[in-house]
Amino acid sequence: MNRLDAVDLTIGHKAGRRLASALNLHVGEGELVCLLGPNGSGKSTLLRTLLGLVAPLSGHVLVGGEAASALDVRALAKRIAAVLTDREIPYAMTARELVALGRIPHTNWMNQFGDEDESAIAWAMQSAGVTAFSDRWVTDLSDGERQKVLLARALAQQPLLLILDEPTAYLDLPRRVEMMGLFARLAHEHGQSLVVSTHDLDLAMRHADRLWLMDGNGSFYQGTTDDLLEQGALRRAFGPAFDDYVRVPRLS
Amino acid sequence: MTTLPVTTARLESATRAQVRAHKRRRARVFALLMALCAAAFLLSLTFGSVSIPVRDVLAALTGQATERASWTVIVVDYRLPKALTALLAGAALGVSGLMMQTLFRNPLADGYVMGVSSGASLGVALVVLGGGVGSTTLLSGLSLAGDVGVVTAAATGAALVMALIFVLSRRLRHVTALLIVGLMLGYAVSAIVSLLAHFTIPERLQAYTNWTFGSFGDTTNGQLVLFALVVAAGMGLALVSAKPLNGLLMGEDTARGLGIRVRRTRVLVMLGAALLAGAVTAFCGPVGFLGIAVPHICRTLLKTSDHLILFPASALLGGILAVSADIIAQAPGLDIVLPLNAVLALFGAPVVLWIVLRRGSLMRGSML
Repeated sequence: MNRLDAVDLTIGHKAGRRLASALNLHVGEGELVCLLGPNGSGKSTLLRTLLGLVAPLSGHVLVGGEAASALDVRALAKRIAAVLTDREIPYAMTARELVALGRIPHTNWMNQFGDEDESAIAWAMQSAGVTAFSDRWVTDLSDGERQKVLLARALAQQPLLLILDEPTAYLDLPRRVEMMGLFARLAHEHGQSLVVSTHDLDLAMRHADRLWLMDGNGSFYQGTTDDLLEQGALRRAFGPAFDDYVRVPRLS
Repeated sequence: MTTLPVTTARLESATRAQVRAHKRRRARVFALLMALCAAAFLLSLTFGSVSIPVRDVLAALTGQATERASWTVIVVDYRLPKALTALLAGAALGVSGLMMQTLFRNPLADGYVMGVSSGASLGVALVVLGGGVGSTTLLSGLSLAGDVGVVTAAATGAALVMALIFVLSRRLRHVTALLIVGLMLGYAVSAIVSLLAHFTIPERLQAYTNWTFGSFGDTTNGQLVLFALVVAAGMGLALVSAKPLNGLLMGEDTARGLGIRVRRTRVLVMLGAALLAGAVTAFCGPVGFLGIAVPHICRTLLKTSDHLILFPASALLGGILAVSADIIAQAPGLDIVLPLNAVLALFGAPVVLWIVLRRGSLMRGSML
């Protein structure tokens, strides 16, 4: 069963233009999908629609085979976890405490942790490589470390699907490479399904199992890197100079 | 659900050791807070215009005979209601401050940010400065805070502002807009108060000013019961919103992603904070400082942002500081009573500064 299906999905803002129409998308178990597209093409809106934060104009989203609209917020939170761009970093919070927030959908109203919760937190921190700074204030961490802590928080939610909106923004190149490698390991070694929006085309092409591409003019393309190159989709989204840019690293 | 791979036993036991160390530290801090709270409470029954030995205070409380009969009256009829009022008010302000700081994600917020205290002040200003209620206590030169008319005016003003904010909150998507509305209400009210002050007689102005100083000593026993009930209701709302507030620390979208009903939480939190701050203002006047400072001190002491830990801690510390400030305000041994708000800020601000500078972590890395 797919972790995520979008059936005949049309997204956009109620009054404004449609950003993409009649999308049929799916994400399988252990699959890493990268969402590409220029600024303003609607990547964030698509992700927010998949998350249920924005209502689709038409069509529907299935999470683990069940209609997302039929699930209450808490049931949905056990299936999809997200790290969005408009997050806020609280102060007086240690890295471990932030990761532990991921258990909120699983615990009772007193937020009491059982063994399962503790193991999930420990596993999430280990997988994201943040165990070493579990006691540090999140505000004292570097951008790269903090991004990994936010990822660990989403992992601690133990979702069927992880949605990450531009997780590599603001990071330097080594950190970007490291993050994308981490996503690939989570997908391919731990069976975690991920949808990651990014501007790092080369890294996405290298690691993603499939790409989703929004060209900013209402067209949507999906497939492997080779599929998209054959369709000329990357050129249409990013301009004619793009093919040359892409081909150079691919030859090496 | 994704099944968890077996983590190495060493790693897990290391994390658990950390968790246990945190829990021990927390238990120590709570034990300290409770001891301080009991001590402050007992001291406040001891000190005042007459000092009564602790032995006799305990005797009076347990219904036994005291060395002088008047001491029983002083302890049971005057100091006990006052100490209880201070304890409740401090706890209410600490908790409502924490609620508002998290809801608005603003470290400078307190229980009054929504204009609750402005509404109460306007109500009191209208009856006191505009003339009408309060004339009896005006003549006796006593503080106005216990006057039934004043309490009613303050409660009405606070309730009206609360209602207004609730109506507006349905129209406003973002909490920041709500924060601005609360601030603007505050400005509008102080403008009206200034106008009223300009045209009133000096005695009435003096009475109003005295009310703004704040006081714990003017609640009657009947009012104390009502006060306690409203505070209990507000605390109940704080308790049920503690876990959702933890999720809100990361912003509203992330909170939704964690399965939290954000709108419902916002209503519960605003209602709870408004009840707590409104009740304090009605019965004790606009008592400042505690709402902002107490949550920060607790976060620093306990090294956490977890509301299930911070709420009880803030209630305890708020109570401790309010009772202590009241002891200082009574100026033991002297024949004067200092303004409560002045004492709170004068003694409280250096304490907070000291903590910030010494620990260097109060606002560590915050976005300020």
